[in-house]
Amino acid sequence: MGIIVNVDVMMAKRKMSSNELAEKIGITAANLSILKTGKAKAIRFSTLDAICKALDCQPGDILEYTED
Amino acid sequence: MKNRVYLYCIIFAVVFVATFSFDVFNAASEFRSGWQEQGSSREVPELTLELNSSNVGTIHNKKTNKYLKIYRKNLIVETGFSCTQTNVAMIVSAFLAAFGGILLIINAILTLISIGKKDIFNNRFEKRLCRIGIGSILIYTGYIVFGVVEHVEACKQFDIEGYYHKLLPENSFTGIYIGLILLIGAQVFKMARTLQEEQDLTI
Repeated sequence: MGIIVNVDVMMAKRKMSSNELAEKIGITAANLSILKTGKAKAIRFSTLDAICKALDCQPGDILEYTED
Repeated sequence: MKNRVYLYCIIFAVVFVATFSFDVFNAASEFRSGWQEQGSSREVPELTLELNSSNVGTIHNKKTNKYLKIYRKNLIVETGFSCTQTNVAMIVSAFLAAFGGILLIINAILTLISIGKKDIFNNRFEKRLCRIGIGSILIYTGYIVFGVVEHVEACKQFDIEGYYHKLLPENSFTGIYIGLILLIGAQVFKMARTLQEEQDLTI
């Protein structure tokens, strides 16, 4: 799949740790790790909304499309 | 996965139509022979190939011009026929049936054990279901091929006036139906497992 999740890049820009972000958006650290490593099959709008709110960014900053 | 389910459903439909047509054809021919015999008020009995220990009477075989020992049971005459000429089809069918049987028994035991351990929602369970289905199909395919070959051999060796030899016993295709249903079930299970996996990986 050509969708890349750039949560770790945004986290580094905002200097936020995984545990802190996981706590803010209300998911477990394990699920955040699945999201960061690109193993996730789908992402809920509610989770995306929470991530954007916590990292103060747009969905396009987190998700990126590349040709396979 | 979907394509496999469609394929198995098509095979199931083909086998069902074939057996239904075969049964209708058999019923029609039996009805016709019964209609013809109505005038003579005599039914055509079935000739089977097994021999019971208590032989009573003899019957004339027109093919060999000899008298056979027979066992009469209602309208069935048993002759003690055993196919002496083993050919490739018989060996292959016997091998298929034996292999299918081993496959079925081993995987059925493993499936029962995994159900006992509640170790169900995984790839192994789906594969075991598939193997049980394939085993069931192989056993009955071997059985049917063996039956057809035996029928051909019997028709070569026997021609007894007033008796006919039945091509296949009833419910010969039951195992093939069960096998195909298991294969379809395994594919549906696989689809459900994929959906569950996707659900689990939705963040």
